[in-house]
Amino acid sequence: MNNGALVLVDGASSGIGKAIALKLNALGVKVIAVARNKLKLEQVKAESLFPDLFFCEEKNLEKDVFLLPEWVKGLVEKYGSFSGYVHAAGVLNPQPLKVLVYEDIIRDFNVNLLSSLFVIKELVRKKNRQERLDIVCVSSIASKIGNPGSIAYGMSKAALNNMVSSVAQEVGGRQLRINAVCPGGTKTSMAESYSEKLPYDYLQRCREKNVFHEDGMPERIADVVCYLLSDESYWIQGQCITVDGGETLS
Amino acid sequence: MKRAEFLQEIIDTVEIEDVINENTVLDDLEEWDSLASITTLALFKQKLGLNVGAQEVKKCQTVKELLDLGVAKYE
Repeated sequence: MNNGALVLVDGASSGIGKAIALKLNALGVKVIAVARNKLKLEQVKAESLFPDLFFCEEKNLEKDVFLLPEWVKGLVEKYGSFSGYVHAAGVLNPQPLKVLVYEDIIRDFNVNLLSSLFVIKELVRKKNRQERLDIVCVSSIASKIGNPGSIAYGMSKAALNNMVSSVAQEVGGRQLRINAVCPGGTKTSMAESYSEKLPYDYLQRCREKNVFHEDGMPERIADVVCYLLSDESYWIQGQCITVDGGETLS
Repeated sequence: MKRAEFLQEIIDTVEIEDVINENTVLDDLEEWDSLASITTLALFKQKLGLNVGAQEVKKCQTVKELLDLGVAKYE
């Protein structure tokens, strides 16, 4: 990442997005951190190594996602053109088929999938990006393996993987790369609140399944995301890379 | 939508960087590829409500011929 690197990170107030925003900031990258809750973003900023390189933007990605291109234009006017975008915003709730309702499906799709599509649609335009734009979407191992109880979540993440592949082929090249990471169970506030709604300890089950038998930590995911934003990963294009400590090996 | 406005829509959406006019030959444009022609086809539908076939777009050699496909719909 060059000196003028400017990276947009959504879902930056907690979990994996927070870890990514803080790591990029610690590398000296100017970060525009996006989340629903400005107060929580300000708390993340207070933890950052270079607060003068950390900017908070409040945005709800649950609805009106088709208006996001206009919002992106405003960010470019305010901060300049971007060199990177990380889509880490995501929602996960237990929604078994028999209680699955349209509104919940739409919310999952808006936050997990469509928000990034409409941000990318605008960001790839030449006037909005620097000489190079590197994009990383945070997907999930749930994109590759179906799970009882979280159908909409898995569907949205599977579609995200396909979006990455299609966008890479349509607009990818030397000047634009897009990839995804597929984390396994990761110790975040989202996973903990998900676990509270289940009759078993979700994170404990993940620990039993991965070959380290320890918690997946957000910082491990952030390490891979930063690699995918860097020149060292130049030849990786349109891929969905599993980062799960071997959770899905068997 | 006026003819000139529709041309500007094509220029903005396909991100054509050269200065073009109606005599410009499409194949001379670096940005004019199969994806650009699909994009333009979609613009005919979105902006003019016109169903234009891929073969009709493919036959066009100049910007003028391309814009003529929408002639029934311009203001």
